[in-house]
Amino acid sequence: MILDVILLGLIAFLFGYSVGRRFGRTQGIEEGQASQSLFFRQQSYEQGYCVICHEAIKQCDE
Amino acid sequence: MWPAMYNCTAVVLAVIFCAVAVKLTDDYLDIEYDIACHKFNLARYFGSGTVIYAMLFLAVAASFNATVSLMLFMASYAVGMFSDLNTRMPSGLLGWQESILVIIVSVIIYGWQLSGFSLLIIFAVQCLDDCIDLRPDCDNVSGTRNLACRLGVVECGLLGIISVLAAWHIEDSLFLPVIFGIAVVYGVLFWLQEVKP
Repeated sequence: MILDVILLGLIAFLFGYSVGRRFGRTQGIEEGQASQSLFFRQQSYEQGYCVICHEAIKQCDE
Repeated sequence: MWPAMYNCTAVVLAVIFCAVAVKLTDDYLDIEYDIACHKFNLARYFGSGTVIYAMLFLAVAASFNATVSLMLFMASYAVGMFSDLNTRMPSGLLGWQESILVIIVSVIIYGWQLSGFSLLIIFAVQCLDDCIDLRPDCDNVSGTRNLACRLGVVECGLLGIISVLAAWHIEDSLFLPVIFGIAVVYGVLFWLQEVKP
């Protein structure tokens, strides 16, 4: 009886953990993709040149 | 008292010899992968005679307890195919087809209870071994045969624990001697792995 309860509990935990991990992973990748362009832009403005192609950033007033 | 102790000891010895036979066969098949990953492999010491020694160990195991040793060997074969499910085998069948065929034969010969017990025990050993053996640098490059790499370490470990408990639930009379035998072989192999990397 105790073994049955432990088994059921572990199976439920495994199911929840696996589903949560896979959803979380997909969500994390989507969030990463959405924020990467903003991150690169911020880095480029801070450095003064494009961090991908190393071209100098043109100022708006030029 | 004495017959019960004799039976228990015979099961433990059968499991120990069967586990060595399975290890030798596995090492013989995985020698190239193990050399690439610098892992301990018994086939490097025994060479082409590894399979013969494996057969010899299986014969000794069957002498102690034929049912336990042979059903565990068949379960090892079926579970071992899980990493090559879509590979075409020398028989012409795919890995999963051979696996199902072996499981069906095992159920016909030993019944669903003993077959289920052996499959669950071997699957648990495979899962827990893959969790311990996980080397992301090697397994990612060499085709991710490792279950812990494919499913995740926590999922793989939990599957192993669930399988052990389910095996205990199905056949409690064989559980302790079989687990003890597997633990002995695993401990010795782990020690050998540390001594001779």
